[in-house]
Amino acid sequence: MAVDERAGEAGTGQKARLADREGFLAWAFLLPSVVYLTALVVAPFGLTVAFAFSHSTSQAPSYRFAGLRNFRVVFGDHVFWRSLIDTLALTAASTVLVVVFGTVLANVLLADFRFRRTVRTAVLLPWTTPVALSAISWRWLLGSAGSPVDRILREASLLHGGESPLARAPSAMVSVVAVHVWRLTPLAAVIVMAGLAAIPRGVWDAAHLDGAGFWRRFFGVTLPLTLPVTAVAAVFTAAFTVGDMAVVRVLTGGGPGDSTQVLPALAYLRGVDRGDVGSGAAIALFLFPLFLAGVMVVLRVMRRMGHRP
Amino acid sequence: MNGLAARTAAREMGRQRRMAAAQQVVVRVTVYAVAVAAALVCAAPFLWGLISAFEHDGGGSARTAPGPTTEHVRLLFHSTPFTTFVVNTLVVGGLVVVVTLALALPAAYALTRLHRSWGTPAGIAILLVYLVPPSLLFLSLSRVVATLGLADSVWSLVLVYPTVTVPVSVWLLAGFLRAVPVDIEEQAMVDGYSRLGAFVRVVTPLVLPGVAAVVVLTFTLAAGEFTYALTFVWSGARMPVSTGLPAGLGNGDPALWRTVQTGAVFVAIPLAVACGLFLDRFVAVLVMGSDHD
Repeated sequence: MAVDERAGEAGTGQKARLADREGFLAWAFLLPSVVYLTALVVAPFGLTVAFAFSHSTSQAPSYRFAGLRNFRVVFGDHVFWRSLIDTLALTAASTVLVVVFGTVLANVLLADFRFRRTVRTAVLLPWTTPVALSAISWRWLLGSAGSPVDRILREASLLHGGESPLARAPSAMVSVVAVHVWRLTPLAAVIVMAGLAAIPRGVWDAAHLDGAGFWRRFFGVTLPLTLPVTAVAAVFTAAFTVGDMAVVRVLTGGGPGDSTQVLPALAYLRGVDRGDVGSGAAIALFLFPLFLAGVMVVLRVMRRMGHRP
Repeated sequence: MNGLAARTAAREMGRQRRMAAAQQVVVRVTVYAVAVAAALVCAAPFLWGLISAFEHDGGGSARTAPGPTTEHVRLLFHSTPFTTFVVNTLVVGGLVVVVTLALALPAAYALTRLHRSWGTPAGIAILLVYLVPPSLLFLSLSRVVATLGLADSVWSLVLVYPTVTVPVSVWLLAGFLRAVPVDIEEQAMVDGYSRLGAFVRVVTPLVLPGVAAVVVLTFTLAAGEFTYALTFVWSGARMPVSTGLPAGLGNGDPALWRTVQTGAVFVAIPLAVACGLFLDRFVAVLVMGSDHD
């Protein structure tokens, strides 16, 4: 170090020296990302907290402290409570279904079969398509008379008259869950696939030799060994369901009658459409504890796996 | 006595072999059934979209001539700003890719190769940023964007999207970098390269396949983002596809519905094909990420 510093003072060869100093390079390489993320994620989060305690609106942007006013307004709003509960229920249901389907899909996609490439491209569609666009496609499939879903539901006498599943409260919510499960299962499958691929073949063979059948091997060996990645898949699913407003905004518009409203869409509705930035920020802040819970799970899993970035 | 025991044992072995064979058939049938079902369900809305894109309005009971029509496709390209949305998305996606690589590649190198005590916490903190929901930040970021004079411009998206793409890219690139043997850099430095020189001239070319995967993923994420695009850009001519197409549904005109739906299919298929090319690489990196090294 001392030698390096003297070389630095000497001026000549300073560039070459700096280009060799690991400590300097480490900072120089990492600092831009850290500064960027701090400026556009950490600082704006602080600003969101500040807005939640302000009289800020889009017409009157100057900051005036409002104490707990926004929270009192939000707590007095029955739509908020309904969307809070719906958001939690939607997230829990989606996460459970995505993890189950994702595990099944991962096992299948790793198997060797014909048309594997075609199947894998099809399976990627939900994950790679912009979420608002797949919501358009789903609205067309669910909401248009004569679509396959429409015909199947009529055949099963689940649908009567000129109604679509998106027009009634319970089936609209089921549709929202279905679209989230549909779009996030491929992501979970890819993560679980990675966990499966990391299990050494020998472990299965050993279990096989010990006389463990297919199900014993699946529940006794495969599942426990992929549990950490499965937990990561669950956290990502939950995070992307909780934070998403596109599905609700495009598929149902929050309706019928606020019955499919979720926190992010409500925060947008209050904060941007109605211009009440303070209330919008206060609603958005309720996503923060959920984010923290996700962080906790990821950190635990990483410690267990001895993870190093 | 002995012969009987041997025959029983042989019969038992045969029974077990037949059972194993039967079980294998069951497994294969299940694999095909699930694979076909999954592919159909995943592609369902787009398959139906593709069919109805070439159908006359009013479906099968149409009063117009039977057979497919290219009317909706023609409308999409001539009567809607679809091409403008696509160009906007390509511009935003391309620029976000450049910014993301410039930030993420050095960061990933620092985290994997230049061992510092803060390396692990810094890497985990960067990954966790990926979990921050945009809904938590869009109100304050729209104020930031307005203050910078970028409101209602695609530049706001170029500025903000890397907050989503950098964390994933750092994580993926770290995986690719870890697969490059350390000896290669050491040899390069013995040959007279500086540490920086070895990174730029020797290591970076070796991770180019990984860089390609990150380019595809970054572009896909940028094209798919909705919340920021909805908040920052409100002029039709400046919207990317993710908000531009849904905005076309506002009036609920059924004629336009099919057209908009056609546009969604046209965007979905190239993205899925591009990502499909890199799926194995994503999985490989995630595997390495869960390695005990």
